[in-house]
Amino acid sequence: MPWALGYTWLILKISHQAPNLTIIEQAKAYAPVLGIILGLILVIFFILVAAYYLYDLADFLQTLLPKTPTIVFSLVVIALGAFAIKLGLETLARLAVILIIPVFILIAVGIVPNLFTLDFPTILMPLDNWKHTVKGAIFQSAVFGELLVLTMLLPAVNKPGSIGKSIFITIFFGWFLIVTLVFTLYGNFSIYTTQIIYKLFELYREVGRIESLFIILWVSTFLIKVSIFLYAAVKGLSDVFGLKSHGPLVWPMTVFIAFLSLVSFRNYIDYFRFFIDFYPLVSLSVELVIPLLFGAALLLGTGLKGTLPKA
Amino acid sequence: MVYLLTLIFLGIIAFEVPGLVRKKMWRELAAFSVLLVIGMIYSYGQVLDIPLPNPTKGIEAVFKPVSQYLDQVLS
Repeated sequence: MPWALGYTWLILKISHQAPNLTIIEQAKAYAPVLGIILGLILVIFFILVAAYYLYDLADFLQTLLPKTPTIVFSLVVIALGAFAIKLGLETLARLAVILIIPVFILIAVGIVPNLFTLDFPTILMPLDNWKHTVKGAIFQSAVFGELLVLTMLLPAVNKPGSIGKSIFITIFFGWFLIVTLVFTLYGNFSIYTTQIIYKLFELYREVGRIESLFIILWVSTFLIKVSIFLYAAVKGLSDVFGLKSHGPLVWPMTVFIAFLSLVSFRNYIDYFRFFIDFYPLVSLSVELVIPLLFGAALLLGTGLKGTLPKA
Repeated sequence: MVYLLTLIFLGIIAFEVPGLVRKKMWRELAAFSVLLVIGMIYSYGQVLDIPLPNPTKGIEAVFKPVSQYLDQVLS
């Protein structure tokens, strides 16, 4: 949590140097070659994240409709995202706002009643093997590399200077929700984080046949996530090559990500093993390399004189 | 599925290319074409069961030593 807030502060600090430019445009303005390298690393990262989350979502949908090929789900979901991006980021933002209501309904119905039946000795059990707990915490913090997507979104915001407070509140609320969810499910059912989604599905079915609301929420939030990374990938690519508009790249990138998601993993076990063993390292590398590259570009651009070149 | 893919690609080209040519956005057209070709390689390759380069395997190969080291230290 402190790592996430600290890292977000750093990202916002970088973005606020030139609020109307993405991190790639800024880095290119300071040092063109380093800017292009930074941009390409970010674009590849965004493409991979979009493809991985799309695979996760398509696989989840296929467990509900097993006779439909995965590619159908992948294409439909990402095409919806592409369509939303073509309409503008505001479409995704409005959808996200609407989803707050079902989030609160599902918390009230499925999570709050289970808070009163927690088995505290069970919750303390992970501390017996603290090394595994520490490893899990390190790997989880690595995932915050995804916050770099903010550097691509901020220039599209009306008042980039006043967005910090909202982002910090969102991160804090998200952290609180995830921690409560994990402890509630572990303390009641001894469910690990890896099985949370399927346990929640079962729980909402038992509570009162509201699992369809849960599925709608799960699919919509993943759709928003995939769409945002798709946007970041096309916007990043457009910034790297200095294009006037990222719009024409949306549909080709959509098809590429849809099929890349299928090529990436043989099955869900393969995907899951990658997410446990390798993805945190990928994310952590990008998380650390990007600010360093940006710092180097800034240093080269200012020549240690403290004056910034005009973007 | 091959026919469906071809239709999708023709649709994308018909939707984007005339506008780009009319506005003389040649750089955008070049980027669009390269990205579309990569998309075509991956999609037709997947449908026709042709082995394709998988970036995820490359990432695994690069990070495997670090992952194994962390496993040893923290287990």
